[in-house]
Amino acid sequence: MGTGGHTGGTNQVHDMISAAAVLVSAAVCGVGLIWLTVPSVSWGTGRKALVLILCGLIQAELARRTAHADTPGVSAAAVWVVGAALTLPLAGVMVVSAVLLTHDQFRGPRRGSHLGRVLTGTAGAALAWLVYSAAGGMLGAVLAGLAHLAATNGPTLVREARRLLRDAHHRGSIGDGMTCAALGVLLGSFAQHSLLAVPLVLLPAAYLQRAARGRALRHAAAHDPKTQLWNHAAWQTLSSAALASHRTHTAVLMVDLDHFKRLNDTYGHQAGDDVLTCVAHVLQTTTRRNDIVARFGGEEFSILLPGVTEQQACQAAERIRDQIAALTVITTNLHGRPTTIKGITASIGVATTHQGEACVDDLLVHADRWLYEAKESGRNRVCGPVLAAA
Amino acid sequence: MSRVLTARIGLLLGAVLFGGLALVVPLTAGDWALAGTVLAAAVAQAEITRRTHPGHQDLPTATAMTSVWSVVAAISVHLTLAVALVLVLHAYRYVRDRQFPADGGVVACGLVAAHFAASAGAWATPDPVAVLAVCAAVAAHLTVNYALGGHRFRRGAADLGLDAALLTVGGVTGALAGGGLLVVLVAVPVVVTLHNAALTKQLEDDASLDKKTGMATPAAWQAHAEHVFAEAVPARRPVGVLMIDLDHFKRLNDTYGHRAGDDVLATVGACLRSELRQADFGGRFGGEEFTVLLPDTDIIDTMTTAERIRAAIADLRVSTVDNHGEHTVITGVTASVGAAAHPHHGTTVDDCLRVADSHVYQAKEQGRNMVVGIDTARVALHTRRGPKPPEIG
Repeated sequence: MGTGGHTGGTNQVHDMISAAAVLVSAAVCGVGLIWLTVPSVSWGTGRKALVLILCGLIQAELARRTAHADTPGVSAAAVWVVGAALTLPLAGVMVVSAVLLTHDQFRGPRRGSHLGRVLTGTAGAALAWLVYSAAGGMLGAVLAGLAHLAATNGPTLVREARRLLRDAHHRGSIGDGMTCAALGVLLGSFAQHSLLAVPLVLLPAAYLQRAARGRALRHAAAHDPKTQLWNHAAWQTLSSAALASHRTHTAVLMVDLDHFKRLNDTYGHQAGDDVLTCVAHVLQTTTRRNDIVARFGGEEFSILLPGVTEQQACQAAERIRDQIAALTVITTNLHGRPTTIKGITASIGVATTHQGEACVDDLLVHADRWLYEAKESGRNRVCGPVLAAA
Repeated sequence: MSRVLTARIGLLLGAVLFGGLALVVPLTAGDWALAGTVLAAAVAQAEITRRTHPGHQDLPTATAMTSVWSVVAAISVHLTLAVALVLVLHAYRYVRDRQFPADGGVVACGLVAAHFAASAGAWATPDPVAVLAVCAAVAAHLTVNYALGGHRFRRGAADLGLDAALLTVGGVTGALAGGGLLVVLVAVPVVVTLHNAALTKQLEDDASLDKKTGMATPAAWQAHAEHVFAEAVPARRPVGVLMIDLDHFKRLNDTYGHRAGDDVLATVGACLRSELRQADFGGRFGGEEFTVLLPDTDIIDTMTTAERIRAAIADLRVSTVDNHGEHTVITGVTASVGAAAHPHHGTTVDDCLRVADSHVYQAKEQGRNMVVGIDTARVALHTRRGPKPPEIG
């Protein structure tokens, strides 16, 4: 699904193939299960691998059918691979991971060939097996799950952890990788006693896709897609909460890029977007962990600084203005040629609470007024009540 | 009020049950440790969920989460501590959110936990029988809980499946917990993810509705329209598309302020909703533009509907607050409407939208507050539809 290029006919053929694949694998799985429940048959490694592979394939095909076009799909191969690492010898683990990763490659949610994913997936499976055979027991199982997670999802985890450290309001989410690994640990530990447990895990695994969609919707509802900062609505909610909990001074900065429209017209929208992204990065790195940075709209950004005096707020604004002025953005111009843009400037309006009774809207109005002042008095400057008095 | 009362009675019954059982059944230190771990996991899961979904404390879902952990405790530890866990979790939720998870749920959780403990002989070492027992336990828990009405607000089979998935995780975790406490913590991310899945429906509704007007968002409208066209085009059924643009909206905003502008948009949205049929689908396209999809409506009927909507908007009286905080009534809000229809103007949503948009432009050019679609006289001749309909626009 989600391949816009297909005509209706090819789509139907694809659907029929996948339906047939699901039916066949379900039938084989059913036969396999009945076979396994007969006690006279020994529980060979091959059969364990077979059950894991079949369940993995069924789950992947089901997920394919329920996938939404607008959210990235989830590959749950990790569940079965981790499960295999806890129950099978290394050769069996490799077979299971090879089959499932290959399937994921050709019929999985993520299009295109990613050799790296196959490599990390295989390495993760081997690592998980090694860890489990070294440690053993429940602790070993958990460590194996973590090892697999680190091998396959390392960069994502690091990025998420960094974001959590940098932004106190960032609501970190339990990623699919972690859930898959956890489910795999449960599966593997249970499957050591009885292979009948493997199909049980199909039920929770079927909801991974839905959870990912919920997460994507939640993220989209609160973030600006271009800069990944908070959007206006989320800023309003977070700031109101922060203002209510902070009895001390709080400041709001309103940052507006100067002559942005002219820049857009001269260099094109691609360049404009790149500038916005760079400025967003500057804003995020020059503010503290507790500050709430949002793209307010167009080329306007709003920042809430809890617990600062007017003096400190103005210093922070001055620092931001400096950093933006020092920015060099490498981008492509209207004709698709690489260009560098320098000399981007911003005007900043500063507003602070005096008694802590002001609401966010009042602060915004004040900040907006000072921003207007800054624009009027020649741009590329910070304006606020303290500076006006001085 | 009665729900709170029922919940209190439930808590009391649970406490009595707990006390009685605690006298009968001896508990070891290991049992307490396991119960403590389950409690810690439950609290961790609830806190993570609170952090990721502020303002989404949905009662039935919360009940489902409580039952997962009580199932874990009932299987791995003992009925006594499972009941105690249910009580503690309900108390925790009451302290944290000021709400009781569910009325019958308290009793149901206790009862079903009893069922698990009774049916579980071989929990210490999971074997093939244990798998069947997990399935039976999950089924029993679901049956009892649904029968007692603890989940009566929940909707449909998707939720049943989700509950089953949650309880399966609970059952598997419980069966394994005897082998090591760590497994209880492993279950936390899985339960959090399943909880996310449970809240997705709510988020989908939020994402597809424009908050200001109550109409569909552009993306949601587009998706629905594509769907309708995909069905109507091969079947050669007509589909009408309207583009409605409020006249001089910017002037109105500047004169009366943004609050008044928002009120006008909301009123127009309500007006559109009341003028449309069940199958019709209205969306907000952008600033002051609305789109309407009229399935099974040919170009003539589309024009008629457009005219009716135009007249209804022109008759609107919007009571609002102006720039200076004074109460005013705005009248004379008008709209220019462009009409287009499949198969007259095109076979895709985008074609019809483009035509409707150009008709809006024509309407604006010709003096606003009018409908532009097709020269109705020509259509009448072309389709030989009896008497000529009145000239519109």
